[in-house]
Amino acid sequence: MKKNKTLFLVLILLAINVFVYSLQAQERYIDKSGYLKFEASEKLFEPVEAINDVVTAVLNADNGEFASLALVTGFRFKNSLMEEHFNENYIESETYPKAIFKGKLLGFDLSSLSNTPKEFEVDGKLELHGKEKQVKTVVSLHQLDGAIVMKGSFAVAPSDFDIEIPSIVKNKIAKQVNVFLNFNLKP
Amino acid sequence: MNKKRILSIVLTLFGLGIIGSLIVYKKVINPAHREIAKEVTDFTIDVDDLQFHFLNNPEEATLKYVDKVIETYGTVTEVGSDLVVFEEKVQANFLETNDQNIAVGDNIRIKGRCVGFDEFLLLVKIDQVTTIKIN
Repeated sequence: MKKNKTLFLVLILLAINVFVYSLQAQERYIDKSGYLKFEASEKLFEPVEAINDVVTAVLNADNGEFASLALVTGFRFKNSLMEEHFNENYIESETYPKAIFKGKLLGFDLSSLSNTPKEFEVDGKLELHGKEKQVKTVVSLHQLDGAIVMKGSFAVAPSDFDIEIPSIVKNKIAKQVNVFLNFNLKP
Repeated sequence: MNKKRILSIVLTLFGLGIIGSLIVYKKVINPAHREIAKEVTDFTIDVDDLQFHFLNNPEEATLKYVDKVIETYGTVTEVGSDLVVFEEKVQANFLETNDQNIAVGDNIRIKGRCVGFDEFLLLVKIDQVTTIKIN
């Protein structure tokens, strides 16, 4: 009986230890109001671009795992009518309210970062409009006042996510959408 | 005489055409953006209830609150250059850089547009925020 009790205590202590250790080990860097911009402009036509500055980005500094979430209603266009069409007809934000990227910074090592930007390959999946697509790109990271600044860009196509562009505006919207990101990740 | 009259009619029509196309452009092709601060509030709700609705039933809450004008209130637990966070439940991003004297622990009331629910941080996000009252 006494032996059992001791064993129980040891197990509990062990569990607490593991829990505390995993908390310490997981050093997360977070940006709550990250910046994303996408551009799908065609020459001679009105610029098609929108900015979202309430994007969430999380970097696990231990293993380079990275995730980001953009609420699509947060994308703001210069032209309010374009914004309305984007939400209602193309991205269908009521049905698919968010875009999520989950991936990894290959070869990430926190101690290798400095004030000068260093490039890392990113490999992950972007989920948008109910579809998923692999995205590979390069981002640059540097340290600034204890935070990690991440900048980069990548390109996707609306057709990859089953987003249909009506033929009447097809020549005004680029086939390839360029996405620019700028996160200020804080510990 | 006749030529003058024709000229004035043509000029009037031309002027009307320009005014008309300007109106069409302003109203139909490029209408002004919403001014959330001036719009009528759709929902007034405390930060606790607002987050709970999204946690409890994200789909329903999305349809109900997203893109609507929300007034909410609670205790500030984090202050950033352009945002405040309420009790780790609601994040409010200001329309302009936060130059008001808001500090952690303040009870404030804000108005803005609900953007949605961030399932990573379990935060309801509100943008285009203006402060209504600091207690």
